[in-house]
Amino acid sequence: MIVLAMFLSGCSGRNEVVIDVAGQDYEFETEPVARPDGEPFRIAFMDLGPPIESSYLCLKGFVEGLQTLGYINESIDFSEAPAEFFAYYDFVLSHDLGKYVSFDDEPYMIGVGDDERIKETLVSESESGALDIVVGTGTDPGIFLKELDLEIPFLICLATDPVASGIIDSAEDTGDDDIWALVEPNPYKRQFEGYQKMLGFDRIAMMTVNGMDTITGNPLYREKAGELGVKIDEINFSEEESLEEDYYDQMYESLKNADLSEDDAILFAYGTMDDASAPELSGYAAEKGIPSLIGDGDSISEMGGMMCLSCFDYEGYGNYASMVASNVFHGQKAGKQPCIYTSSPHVVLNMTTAKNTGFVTGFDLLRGVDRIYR
Amino acid sequence: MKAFFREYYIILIITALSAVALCALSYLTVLDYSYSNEEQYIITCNETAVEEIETSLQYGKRLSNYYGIGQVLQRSRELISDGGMDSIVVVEDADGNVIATTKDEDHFVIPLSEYGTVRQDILDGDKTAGVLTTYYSKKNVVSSLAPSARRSTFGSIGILALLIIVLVTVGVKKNWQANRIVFAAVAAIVLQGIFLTAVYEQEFVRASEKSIKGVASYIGASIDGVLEKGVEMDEIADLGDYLEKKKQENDFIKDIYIERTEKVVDDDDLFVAEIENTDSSLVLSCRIADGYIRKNVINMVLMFVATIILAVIVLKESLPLSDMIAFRKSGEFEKPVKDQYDNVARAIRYGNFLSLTFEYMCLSFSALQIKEWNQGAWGLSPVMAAALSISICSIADIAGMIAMPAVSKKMNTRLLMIVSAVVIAVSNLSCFFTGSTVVIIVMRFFAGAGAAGTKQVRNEVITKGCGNEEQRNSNLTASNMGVIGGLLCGLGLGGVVAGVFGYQATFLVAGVGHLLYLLFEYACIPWKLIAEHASVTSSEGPGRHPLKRIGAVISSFSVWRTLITIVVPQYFLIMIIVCLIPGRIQSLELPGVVLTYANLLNGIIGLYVGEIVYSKLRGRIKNDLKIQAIVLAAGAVSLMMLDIPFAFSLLILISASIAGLLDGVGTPVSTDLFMKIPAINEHLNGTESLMVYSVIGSAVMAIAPFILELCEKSMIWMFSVGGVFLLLSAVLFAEKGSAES
Repeated sequence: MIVLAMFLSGCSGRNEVVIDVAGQDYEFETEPVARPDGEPFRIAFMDLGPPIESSYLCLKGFVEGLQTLGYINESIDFSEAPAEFFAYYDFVLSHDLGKYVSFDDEPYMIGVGDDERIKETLVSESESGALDIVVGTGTDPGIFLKELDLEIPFLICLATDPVASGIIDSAEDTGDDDIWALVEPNPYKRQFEGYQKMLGFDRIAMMTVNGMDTITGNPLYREKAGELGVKIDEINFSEEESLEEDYYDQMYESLKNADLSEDDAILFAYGTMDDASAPELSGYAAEKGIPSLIGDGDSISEMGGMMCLSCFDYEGYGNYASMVASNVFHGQKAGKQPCIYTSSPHVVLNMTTAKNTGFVTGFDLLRGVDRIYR
Repeated sequence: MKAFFREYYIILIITALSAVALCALSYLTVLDYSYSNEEQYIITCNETAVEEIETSLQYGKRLSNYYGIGQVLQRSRELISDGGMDSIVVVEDADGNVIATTKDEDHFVIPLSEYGTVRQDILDGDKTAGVLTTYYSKKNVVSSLAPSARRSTFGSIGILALLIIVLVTVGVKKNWQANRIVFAAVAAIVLQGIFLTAVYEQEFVRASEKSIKGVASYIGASIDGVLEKGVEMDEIADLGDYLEKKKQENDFIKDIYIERTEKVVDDDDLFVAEIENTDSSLVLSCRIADGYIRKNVINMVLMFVATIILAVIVLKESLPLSDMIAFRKSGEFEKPVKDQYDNVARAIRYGNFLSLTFEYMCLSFSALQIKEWNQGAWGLSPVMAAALSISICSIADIAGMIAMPAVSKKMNTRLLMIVSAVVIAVSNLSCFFTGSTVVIIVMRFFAGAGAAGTKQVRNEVITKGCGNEEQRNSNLTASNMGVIGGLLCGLGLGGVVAGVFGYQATFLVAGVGHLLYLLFEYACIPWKLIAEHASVTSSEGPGRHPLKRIGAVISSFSVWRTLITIVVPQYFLIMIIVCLIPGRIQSLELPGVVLTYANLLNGIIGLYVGEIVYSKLRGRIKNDLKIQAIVLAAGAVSLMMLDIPFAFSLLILISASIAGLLDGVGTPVSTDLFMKIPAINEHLNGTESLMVYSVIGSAVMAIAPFILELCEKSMIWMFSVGGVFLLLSAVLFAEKGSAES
């Protein structure tokens, strides 16, 4: 019997845990690799000029993602790099990145007058083999690169809707082996739910501009509010009104005239509050003790908006693009890489506005906030 | 001198084993305490990672597409490493698929002998999305305890050597009797306990200091992280609540607060972490919970006392062994004389003590081992397989008992004893050697069948190893005492063996123990005498077909009356200590040491006081029915007092003591009453009667846990069951003295 037991069990396997990594939906190459000729891969970075904060964050995420993967010398301390697009790019160029990757001498900025020269440079460099990959942020660079039909792959790590704009055919099939674009699923719904979880509101005022639904995500906010049982009091403007000179005066007046007594917060959807109007609009909300929540834009919060919870994690986009780039460096097709990327929330808080509003800032909230403005 | 050691070698062996057990227990207690502190530290360190992952999941991410989660795990690993611990952090999804780890390899093995485990659920809203498991290296903890372990070992050897010197120089010269030698041995063990307490107390303090430093530095760094973003200290609204939460998470922290540097007092119990990102000179102060350390030291001392009591019980139960061996060598052995029958009672008691000790030593550990392996069988989940490994043993036991009368007709009692003991020993050894849940379940089935065989042997020896009814009663009482003692020591020693060597080691000890039981029974039971008695009784006994005889028993009103009013309630009362009291202790969140002492009191009172009370009651009342009526009334009291809403620990200990007394008195009385029923006497022989009695008992013990579970949860059930006992007690009091002795 005892021999049978030992035979059946092999007399082993006791008191140990066997770990077999099943992995995730998709596996990325995490070992750095150089070009077959031993030279570093040459990367071009493109944006629609002038670059905005999201462009800088994407660039930062991309560069630091490459460093985490081992493509860039780990001795370089990027926490010392300036928080501005061009200055950051110069910081990258000023360091010896190592043997795996190098960046082109300057970033390519389209829409600021020199697009033809950019076209010629990109075509000649890609044909000569001097350039290996282009990484872009924005819908316009995506369309620009697609039309250029280069012989090298390009990655678009930020575009509002790369499918609707025609950069790729769909999130599942880009339609071109050399084209990849990041697709963020349901960012507006997730943002609204995030705000609701954080503040626990059941009634909210929302400033909206109609007519730009794809960009603003207003219908998705409404849909999510319905699912969560949140009542929305909308203060609505037309696209035409938003183009008028006194648009912000009108908005301020509308805000003052609105009955906000029942509202627990106010959400300024895309196209309503900007950097310039932020102090006045958020200041008024704070006076009334109502938290002002921003649809998109850390800089708006920096200027006064109380909080911006974004499901567009720009730095995360850059980071993810670096993993996709790693697969491309290993010889995989860009168009075969997974496009869907779900962001972790990115939260910024204006402490001065929060204090003026009477918003309680607990330890857990502050620990989760990525940046504090005053 | 040789004669001295020959006579008292059992005492010396048991003393040495007790000393080893105390050494192991003290080391394990401190080791467990150190691990527990490290685990609390790990939980605190992992909070950032868990929160980060949970937040991302809440915002729509899934573990399967949380690319870069490995970096989150790495940050946790680095934090844990700051506290001086190597670790491997693993994240699994809800189905147990490993998503990512902090190791570079995709396939590796983690030996649990070298790594401890901390599992933290990752929630997505209300549902569990995955588990973050930290495997931490035990190496540092073990090596930090090594000097104390060495000191305690050498010190204990010294104390044992001192005992031997005293026995040799004084004991031999003055010709000490057994009781005095036992006293000297117990004094040596107590001295060892004091020495071990002194050695390990500082380790409790050191372990707490190490953990508190780590936690203070982590919390300080967390606060710094928030301040670094540009937040002022007074803008953190609920910092006090956060610190309170950390205090609750870590038992070794008495107090935690932020104060100005100049206010920090110089105190050994205070650990300070710098807060850098603030204009004011502030520090985080953590005060060590000396009360928590004291509580753990007291717990260790209480466990020492419990172990010493167990050692004394083993010593006391083993003392007659020398006499039994001496009688075995005498010419009286195998002769139908009073001395031989007295020795049969002694042998029954010691044989039961051995078999029950080793049976209960491993009983519950098959389930724990299967759960630890996390390995199912035949499509069953690990939890179900674990439960099956316990219940299959009982099923085999009951089925075996039903089959045993037929088996014993084809096999003489000695052969049945040998076969049963070998089956149990081999089954247990197989459980030790295997790594398979299936093998454990199958082997536990065989062990249960073997246990039924030993019960049959026990019943044969009780009924046939006697010259008259009085001697049979002595055998019954001795059998019950052996069962109580074995149960008590088995549970206690099983815990020590499992703690020191792991769950599976209990099967090795149980296997070897059953071989010792075989040797003892083979040598000390007068098998020829029993065989002769058996041939006489079988020629005199009931000769009809078994089914007809069972039919006659079932149709007897007095059988049913005795079952309902005596046998079933008696077995139900035995289950109070097995099910109700542990459940009560758990639901009241009382310390584990209360359960240890409840078991201990129950066993000691059942074993030693029960016997005395039983003989005194018999002397005065002379009516078993009335004795049983008192037992049932006391049973109702022990049951209902558990619902009194104060002094919980004290009441539980009193209840356990009463339950022990009821076992010691009630079991021989109820067995005797059952066997005296005319229908039983007429239709079944003695062994069959005891077997039927055991089967009924096993059935009651299978159902009782469910009723006692209801009693534990509801006062109505508790008082209703207690009321039924009082009613039955009244019925028995009202019965005419038909069973008067």
